This record gives sequence, structure tokens and C-alpha cells, in this order.
Amino acid sequence: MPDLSDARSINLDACIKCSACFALCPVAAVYPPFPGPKGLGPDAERFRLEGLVLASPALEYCSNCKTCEVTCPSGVRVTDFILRARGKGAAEGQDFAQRRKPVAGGVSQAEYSRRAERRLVRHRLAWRQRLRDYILGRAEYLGKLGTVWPALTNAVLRQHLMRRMLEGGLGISSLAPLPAYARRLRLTAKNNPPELGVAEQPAVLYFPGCFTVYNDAPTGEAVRRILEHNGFRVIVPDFHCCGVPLEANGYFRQAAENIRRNLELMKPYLQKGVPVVTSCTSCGLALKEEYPRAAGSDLPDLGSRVFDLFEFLWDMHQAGRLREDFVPVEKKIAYHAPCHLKAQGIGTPALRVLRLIPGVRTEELDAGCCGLSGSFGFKKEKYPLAMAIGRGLFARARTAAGLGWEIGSDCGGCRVQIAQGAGVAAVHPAWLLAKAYDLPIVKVTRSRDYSEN
Amino acid sequence: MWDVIVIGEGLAGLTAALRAAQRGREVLIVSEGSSSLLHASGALNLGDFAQLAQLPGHPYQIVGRHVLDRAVAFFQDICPGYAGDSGAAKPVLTPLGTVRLAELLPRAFQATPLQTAKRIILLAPQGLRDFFPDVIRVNLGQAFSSARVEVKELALPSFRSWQEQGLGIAPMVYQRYWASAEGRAAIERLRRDLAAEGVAGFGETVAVFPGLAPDLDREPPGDEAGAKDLLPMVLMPSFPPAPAGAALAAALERRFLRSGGELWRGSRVVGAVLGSSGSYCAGIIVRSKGKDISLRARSFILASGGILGGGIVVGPARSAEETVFGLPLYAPADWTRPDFLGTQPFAQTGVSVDPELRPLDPYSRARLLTNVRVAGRTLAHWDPWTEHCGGGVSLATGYLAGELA
Amino acid sequence: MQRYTAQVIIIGGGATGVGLLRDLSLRGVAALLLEQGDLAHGTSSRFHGLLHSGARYAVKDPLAAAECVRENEILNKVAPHCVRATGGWFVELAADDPSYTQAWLAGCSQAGIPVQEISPVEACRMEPMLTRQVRRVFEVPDAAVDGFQLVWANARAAAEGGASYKTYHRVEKVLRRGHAVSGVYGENVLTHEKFLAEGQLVVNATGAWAAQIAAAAGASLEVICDKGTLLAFNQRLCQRVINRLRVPGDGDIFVPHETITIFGTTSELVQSPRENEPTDEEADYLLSLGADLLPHLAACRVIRAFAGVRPLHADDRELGKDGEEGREVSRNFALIDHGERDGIEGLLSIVGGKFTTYRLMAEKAADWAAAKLGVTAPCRTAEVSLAPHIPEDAVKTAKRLLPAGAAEKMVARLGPGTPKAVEAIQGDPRKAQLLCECEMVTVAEVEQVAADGDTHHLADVRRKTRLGMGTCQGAFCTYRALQFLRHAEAKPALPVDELTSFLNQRWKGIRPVAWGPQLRETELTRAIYLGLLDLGGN
Repeated sequence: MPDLSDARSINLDACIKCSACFALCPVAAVYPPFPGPKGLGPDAERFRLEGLVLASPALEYCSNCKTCEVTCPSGVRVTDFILRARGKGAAEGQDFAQRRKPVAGGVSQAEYSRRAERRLVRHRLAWRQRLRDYILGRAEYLGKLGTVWPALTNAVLRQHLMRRMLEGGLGISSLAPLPAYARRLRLTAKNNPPELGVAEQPAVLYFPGCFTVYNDAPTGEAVRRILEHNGFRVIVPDFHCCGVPLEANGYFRQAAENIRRNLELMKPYLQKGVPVVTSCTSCGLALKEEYPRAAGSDLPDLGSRVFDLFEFLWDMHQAGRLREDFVPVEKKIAYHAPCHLKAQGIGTPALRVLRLIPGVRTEELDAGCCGLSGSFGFKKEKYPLAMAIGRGLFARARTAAGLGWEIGSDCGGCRVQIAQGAGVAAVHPAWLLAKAYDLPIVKVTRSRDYSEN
Repeated sequence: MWDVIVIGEGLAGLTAALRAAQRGREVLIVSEGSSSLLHASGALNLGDFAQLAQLPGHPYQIVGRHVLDRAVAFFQDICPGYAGDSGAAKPVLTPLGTVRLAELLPRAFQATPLQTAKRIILLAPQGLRDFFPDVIRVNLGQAFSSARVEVKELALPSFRSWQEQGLGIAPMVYQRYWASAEGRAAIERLRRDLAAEGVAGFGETVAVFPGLAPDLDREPPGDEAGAKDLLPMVLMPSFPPAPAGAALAAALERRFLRSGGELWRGSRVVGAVLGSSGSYCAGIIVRSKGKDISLRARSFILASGGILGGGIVVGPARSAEETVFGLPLYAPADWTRPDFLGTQPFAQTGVSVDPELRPLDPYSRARLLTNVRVAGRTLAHWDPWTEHCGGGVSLATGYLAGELA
Repeated sequence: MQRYTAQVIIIGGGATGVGLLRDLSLRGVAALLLEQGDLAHGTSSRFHGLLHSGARYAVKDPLAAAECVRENEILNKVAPHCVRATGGWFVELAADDPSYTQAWLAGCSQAGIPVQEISPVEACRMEPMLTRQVRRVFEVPDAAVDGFQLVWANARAAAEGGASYKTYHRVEKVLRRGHAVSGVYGENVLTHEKFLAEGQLVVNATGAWAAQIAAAAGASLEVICDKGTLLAFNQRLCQRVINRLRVPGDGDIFVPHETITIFGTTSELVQSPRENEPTDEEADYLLSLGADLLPHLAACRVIRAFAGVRPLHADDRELGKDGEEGREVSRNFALIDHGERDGIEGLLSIVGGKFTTYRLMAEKAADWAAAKLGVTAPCRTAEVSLAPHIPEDAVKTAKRLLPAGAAEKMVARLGPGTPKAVEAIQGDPRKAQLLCECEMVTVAEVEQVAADGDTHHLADVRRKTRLGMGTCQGAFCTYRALQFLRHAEAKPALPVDELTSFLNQRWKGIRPVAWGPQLRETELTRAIYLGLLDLGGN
């Protein structure tokens, strides 16, 4: 049973049924049977509290883009209701079962609870889909596996026959833009955690995220160099996956375990006042939202110590400490703000920082969600939806690229999806900063499109 | 550091931000959610200025006629598709097919062509939600008694799977289709076909099109009723969330972003940091994920939307609070009246201001903050719904705040 | 003028009246029920919705307690579809008198009410909203009952058994022939046509109006009208009934009902049954009382306040302390045979009682009528089920066609009308769309209910489907429902009066709680009906 005193439940009361979330939900716009965030969230929640079965297959179609939460004028945590319903369905059945003696007359309390428990079991996904979600949720293990011999992994994943088998067997779309694996990001030595003495230079804990570690290490290097250029010692522990792919696929307990282990890794540094910086906006959102909830009073101001890279750099600029020894960079950058960046509620700091570089012109593509939403767009039944959702963005990106603009976005998923849908390569905005700092050029990987062989 | 931070992106907030940006200021808008314009019909009411300006403390009384006129002109400059002035109100349809009046509306909304029509074709896109053709047909017939009203269903291949599943299609979803190249072509083809089969005499047959947002960027002429071989069309506003309101919000946002402004949507402003004197605002506090962020600016515009927008929160026992600066509020002693559609005293709750829209104590009239201005619904002593002046007050006070900030 | 005949004429369509109608129909007696408004529009729709275990009366009114125990069991058995066996707790707080608890336990034991003690720690785990200032917690078989459904279940069952009922028929005079009643005379409130109903017996089951109807017969009757205000909260705040374990007073019961929680109540003597308007002060007062049991209550959204007028029987009143009159009066009921008392043969008034014992009241009244008519058939209402038979395949089809959860709700609301609605949806899948999203009411349901012979107003649709009873209190579903009413009544296409009346009725309940999110909701509603639809008087 949901904790009725939890602020989230009281937040349920804040919904005034204005349907703004539904009006702007990217999935509802392209998928007719999707009841929308209001329907699956605050509407259904009142019935879930009653014990009514509302674990419908439609819940799986929420892409977790959080557009609804950004749009809501009442501060309702719409996605929270949906994710909770997805994952806690079975657990709620447990809580609901009161271990009480039968009450006189009618349906006994225990009997009622048993029925409710049966009804609240997580809806039946096909076993293939459940296996697929299990696999796709484990980005870290996929990454570790894929980077043992990246060239081989990539070659195999490019095989049309292999992709057809994955589609038929597991429901991973043969057209999905599965990102290529590459050499892993260099981490700080695991068994030798650096001591932080007083005389040392200030340090920063960098949380690169699975995409950066296993698919796009050069971007991670660029981030490291940028921070080092600004006088920081950059520590990159062997973090586990932030937990978002696990949660998105319904594995809340495993996500919680990852969160616990990552917090253990972070704690010694946080206690010494070292901030955490992320360059992936989904990891960043999780670190700001899920992690403080999990850490609780253990690390009370954790949220205020986590920064998106450009948020961090902008704060330094405000304090007059950002190195602005830029060489001019004559580039036009059309920026796509990832959904999870918008959800962080810090505006678009990348644009602000880039505008400091002489020669750089910036524009925001402002075309909504790219559609990929992590592993959502890889799934066979969701791939067409993902492509439909991103259509507007793809068109704008194509037009911009045609006019000589570079496409930039801080989310690896968005970059992959833009390449897939618009046929245009996108870079993390950190690259422009690296160029402006005239850092030793490191080869830029462009996200490859694996739908064509 | 920005020059101006605007709290709220309703019509007042957007207008204020646009005016300040036009004057060369660096502007940031912070908004808890999407614009309240999403729930607007798209037609803006200015109201009876002369009468309203007599009401004590009314925003019209504070800003004056001149400001309203300039604000309207400013708005029309940004949205050339809007016609009208504070002079005469024009007829516009309601989503039930009745007629109401509004002063400032997209040309395509004006229902005047229906007044001289002999035949009215109510277009009925299949599956459109919150659309009741039977009711509308009867109401149109009553409003425009010299015309014969018929309903013409539109079946679109793009929505066939929706139809087959019996699913309703929200106006916002239909609008995405109409705005696409294919949708636009479909409309044009339809208007051409209908015009060709029409009754002799131009203007004698007029179509009513529900759930279509007007094109706001188009300069007159070239508007909807222009071309001779296209059937004249009157657009009918939708129930909220409405495409026309969303289109207006999007147009204003686009313009704002293009003029260099920044927009943070999804973060609530939870407080302010005052300078040591207590009469100057140094910054506002925004609740972002995981942390509260203090944003500094030289001046601030509070356009937080009053009770509906969340800028004023009323607790049990009717204790009203302004949620950003904690400004003292005017709040009426008696709160509600039995006639729901009549005057409701609570609607007058808000912040009292001086002629420059700076907040005052409602009773002592002492000026409270020198670099903060209040615009829109959060102001006291007005009610957009019974006074029919929502658009006008938002534009005028937003414009003035942006002008002075 | 309309004419009706029956053996027994029942005035009043609340729980007692329809209960009696049904009882008589089972005994083969021809009965006609006349109700001035919609069924259950009086006190039967304005109470806690609590099916008492009897524990509340264990100390003060052991007779009432014993009655409740039996009737609770019976109703659970014959109307399981109207009763949700949530169980209930009696909670002794740190501020309460432990000796009262002893007396209470003794009283429950005597009345045969099963009581089970629960540890406070366990209780707080099971009910996270409950205050931590809990000393002792006891579980009893309280339950939540859907008053509307039960009343309608009785009415439908009676109609199937050959009886009939007429709503919006207001009785103005009880007619006599010599010393005996001969029938009633009144007006059809909708058409303003007069009617005459002839019958051998007339039963006055009008609850809080009983004194007025008695007067219309030239008989005397004193009914104490006691107003009780309640608050409806937006969500289930608890999963079982929660009572305060102390001398029954104001604001000491929370009852979860489907998606909401009802909390109350107050007690104030009033002059007439029409004084059922909740006030700001009462709402504030209740909120402060409730915080004793659920400390976070002030942060919880109240969607409306409502008040019902309890009809209390004056005759065996014990005048207690000032202001306590209402609760001091017995919650028992009484049958007043006006033949014995006023020399008017054939007229019976039923006074007092509570919803939980409606069936018993009806049984006694039916016994009286049967005796007068020489009918020997016994009462069967304790045995014959009221649960409708709904074909399993209709339920299965509904689950397949409707959004998750909506099928259960539709089946529960429409009952035997389910197959027809399912058929309608099969014919046109658009009818599976939700018209009222807050309470999951489909287009098919509203259409069907609106076409009922006894649906005349949006309020009738509301009572039968819960349309407009959820979070938004009709902001969005009101305009959606209009089109169906139009078809049913062939009225003008924009029945402004209907709409205004419905909105004003909703507003009456929101006014006392016009704060917080409900006030925001109100502003949004005004924006739609005043702004977008321009329905205010210009």
C-alpha cells in the first residue's frame, strides 16, 4: 500500500485535471491507445489506492521522458506514479494483504486482500519481452561485455541476420540504432583511491555514465580535459550504472542496489566536499532525484552537490573562476536540449557557456523529444513510435545541418537517435569547449547508425 | 546574471519578457509548467475599459488607456494574425457553437462571415474529442437564423487506426496533423472542393472548422477569407487544452527565444533573497532537481498567475499567501457567493501595486520592493471571468512591467 | 391529472421507503412509492456511508448496537455488491479516557460485536496517515456502504417484483374518507401536472420531512431535525473505517469510499430538512477535529462539504446537556400508527433510525401493512439477495473493451444494465471512451443512464454514475454530458438552466472548502464556463 503520508501522495491532490501533460506527451501524440500521463498517473492513482487493478500494458508505453512533469503547472510528479505502478504492482499486492482475522460477514478482509493481491500482480508481458527488458535494463553488463572486443561486437550487431534474430527472439527492433561499442573510458585506478590532502588541487568526481564509458569514451576524455584545464583533479571511480535503465524496465530493486553501491563509492569524496559532475543528462537527473531520496539523512545535501557539466562551468563563470582563454571557434551549433536536462530544471547552461566562446553562434532546435528515451526506442513495438515522436526534431536537424549548423546535445541517446532519424551526426557540446580551450584534439566518434548494414 | 527575471509564462509574463527583451534586456523566464495560454481559447478579451477603469484598484485604473493601446499594438506586431482593437468587440464562436464577443482575436476566428451566410457547413473531423456536432448544429442554427446548417464529416486516412479502435482524438493531436504539409494540403483541397460545389454567390456558404489553430504569423492580407476559390472558413475554438491557445503560447515563446531570451520551464520559484534593506530583491530561489538555485537579476517581474497559476496559495481558513516574495495580499472578508457564475469575492485576491506596478502593502500603501513589478492575475482587484478583460489586463500590465523593468 | 392506485402508498424514496417497497413486493402487496426528488436525494445520500458494526452505540445505546450487529450481517449477505467490508478501527488516543474504553469493550461484548485488539505499532504501519499518539486500537466489522447503490438496488428489485415508484412526485395532501386514509394528492414537479394516488394504506417514510407529511394528513408528529456536515476528501486517506474511541462526538469518523474518504460529522438542531447547507465554520471546525486522528489532514484536499439532516424521533428523548440533544436522542426508530394516536386509520409514520437498520425499519412497517391487509406472507428481505445477476460474458467483454479498471466500475454502477451498455460499446467502440475521467465513467454509461425514464437532470445522472463526483467536481464532464441530456429530453441544444443548476449544486458543496487545490480547480472551472463558454449573465 502506498505510503499515504508520503509527499508524493499529497502531491496527488495537486492535480487539477488540466490535461496539459496529456496535451504535450510525446507518446500520446503518436500512439492512439496510450491513455496519457494524466490517465495512467494521477487519475489511476486514486483507483490504485482503492485496490483496483490498473497495471495495464499501457504503462509500458510511458517512455519516462518526464515531459509531463516539466509541463505540469501544479508540480505533480506524474512519472513517479507511473513508474511506481509499473514496478510496485506486485509489492503492493503484498502490502495490501493484511494478515488479519476474517471480519464478520461478507467478504473477509483477508479474502478481499488475497483477491486484491492476485489482481495487482504485474501484468503479463510476453516472456520474450520480459527477457528483453531484463537485458536492456542492464546497460552496464552489456557495456562490459560489448567492450571486451568492441570491433567484434559491433560487427556482429551490424549483421542483418543477427538483428533479425534479435528482433524475432527478443523483440529488439532490427532497425534500432544500437550504439557501437568502443574502447572504455580510462578510469581512476580502482584499488588506489586518491587521498585528498589539504594542499592538493581541488577535485571533482566525474560520473560519466555507461554510454560515455562503453560507447563514447573520447567525449569522457574531453570532459576530463576541460575540468583539468580549469584546475581540477578529475577522479573517475568505477561507478556502476546509474540505475535509470533498470528502473525504466521495472527493476527497482536492482536499481536501488546500484544506487547503494554508487553512493558507497561517492561517500568518501562527498564527505570531503568534492562535487559530482555528470556529462550525461539522464545520469544527472537520477543523481539529483533518486540518489538523494535513497541516501536520505546519510548524505543530506547530496542533491546540491551534483552538477551537470555546463551547470558546473556556468557557476564557475558566475564566480569569476572559469578559464575563458578561448581561441575563437567559428561554428554554428544547433542545440537539442535532452528531455532529462529539461527535467533537471536548470535551463540550458550549455547554451550559456557556449555563448561565451568568441565566434560561436547558438540556436536551440526546440523540437521536443527525440523519441529514443533510453532503451524505449530499441524495442520492436516501440521503435515506430520513437521515430514518429522524433520526426519534428529530425526535420529541424536536417534543415540546420543543411545550412551548415552542427547539431549538439548532451545526451548520448539523443545523439544516436538524431543520427538515426536525421542522418546527421551530433556532438556533445563539450567538444566545442574543448576546441575553444585548444585542448589536444582527440578523435571524435560519431554515433553510427546500425539499421543499415 | 540577467537584467530581468520574469516569473511565470502566461500571457502577462510572456508579454513582459518580450517587451523587456525588445528593449535590449537580458531576460530569463522561469515557469513551473507550461503556459496557461494552453487553456485559453485564443480569443483575447479586453473588456469595457471605461467602465472597468472606474473600479477602485483595478489594473486598468492603474495603468491607463494609453498603456493598453500600446500593449495591444505591441502584441499585434508580434502576432499579425490577430485583428481588433479595444474599440469594438467581434463575434467568436464557443466550442458549443454559441456566440460570444471578444475584442482581439485571430482573423480566422471572427464569426462575422456567418452572419451573412445562407449555408453553413460544420466540418466534423471524425473522432475529434470534446466536439459535439449535434449540439453545435442546433446552436449555430439559432445564432445565425438566416442560414441552413449542415454537418459534413471528415474521414482522414491518417487517423483510420484511431477510428477503428474507437479512440477519441484530442484537438492537439489533430492540430499536429493540420499543421503538417499533408494536413495543410488536405484543408486547401477541402475548401476548394466545397467552394466549387457551393451555392452561387461568394460568402453565401461558409465553413466552420473546429480544433484548428489559426496561423498567427501571417500578415494581412493573405488571411483565411482571402482567396476567391477557397471556401471562406471560420475557426471554432476548442475546449482546453486548446490548439489555438497552444499556438499563441508557442508563437510568443519562439519570438522570445529568438530575441535571445532564456526559458526555464518545469521549475517552481519558491522564494526570494532580499537585500539587507529589505526593500530590494537580490535574487529568486528556484527549486531545481536536488537543489534550490538562487538566480540574480537587476529586476523582477512577478507574473505568477494568481490562484490558478499557483502564485497565490490559499490554505484552510482562507489564509492567502503570495508564494515567491511573501507579499501581503488584499483578500476580501467574505469569500464566496452562492451563484457560481456570478461575482465571487475571492477572485479579487491579489497584490496591490503603485502606478509602476510595484507592490504595496494593501492597507498602509507602503511600497515594499523597489525592483519588483507585478503583472497579470496576481494583481488584486480584478476578475477576468466576470469582467471579460483577461487578455487586456495581461497585455497591458505585462507590457508596462516589461517597459519599466 | 394522473391517477394511480395501489394497496399501499409509500411517501419518501429514501432507504426506508424503497426498503419497504421491496419488502411489500416480495410479500405480494401492490405498492407505489412517491418521492419528491430523485431517489435517495434526502438523508440517504448525505451520510457517512458507514455500515455500523454497532460498536459506536455499544455504551450509550445497546439496543441500537444489537440491531446494527444483526443488520450489518444481513446486508453483507444480501447486498455484498453495495458493501465494502473494509473493517473498522476504534482508536483510543493519548488524550482519551481509558475507562471509557473499558465500558466500550463491555458493551461490545454484550451486544455480540467481535472485537480484536491491534498493537499501536502495527496499526501505524498499516495506516501511515494515523497519528502516532495512539494508545490502543481495536478492530470491529464496520464497513463502507454505497447508499445510492443500495437504495437503487432496492428500487429496481421492487420494480422487478411488480411494484412501482415515481420520482419528482411531491405529495401535498393525504386524503381521507371518514376516519381512514384513501390516498394522496400532489404535483409532478417536472410537468406541474397534478396527480391522485388511491390506496388503502399510506406510509410516511419521508425521514426529515415526516412531520410535514404528517401535518399534511392532519396528524401530529414531532421530528427533530439534526444537521450533520461531512467532508469528502479527494483520495483514500485510510483503508478502513477509523473511529475515535470516546464518547460519540463531532468529527470522529473517517470512512473510505471507493476513491474518496468521507469524514464527519457535526450535530446541530435545525428547523427544517431544507437546512442542509454546510458552512465555512463547520468545515473549518471539522478539519481541526480530524487532525487529532490524521495529523496531516490540513494538507489534504477536500473536494466538497455536504450536510444531511438526521430525522430523530422526539418521543423518548432524554434531555441531556445543552447542545447534546441531537446525540442524546435515541438512534432507534419508531413506528407511529396514526390510527391509534390521531384517529387516522391506515396511516403509519416511520421516524428515526439510521441507514444501517433501514431493512429492519422497513420490515416492521411491512409487518404493520401486511397485518392491516390480512397478508400472511413473511418478510424475506433478510434472505433474498439484492445482488444483480450479471452475465459473466458481459463482464468479460467489458473488461476487454474498456480501459483498465473502468469495467469493474461500470459493472458495479450499472448492475443489470451492464449487458446493454456492453452491447452499445460493441456496436460503437467510441462509447468506451471516458466521459468523466476522474471517476472513470464511460460514454456508454452516461448515455444509457440519461435515457432512463427516471433521469431528468444532470444531477440524476451524477447520482447514478458518479459523474462529477470526483476530483474536478464536474469541471470537464459537465459539458460533455450535456449532449446526452439533450437527446433524452429534446430540450434546447444548450440547456443553460440545466448546466447552471448543476454547477450551482456542485458549488454549494465546494464553497465551504474553497481553498487549496479545490480553489484552483474552481478558477479553472470559471475560466471554462464564464470565459470560454460565456455563460455568466452578461
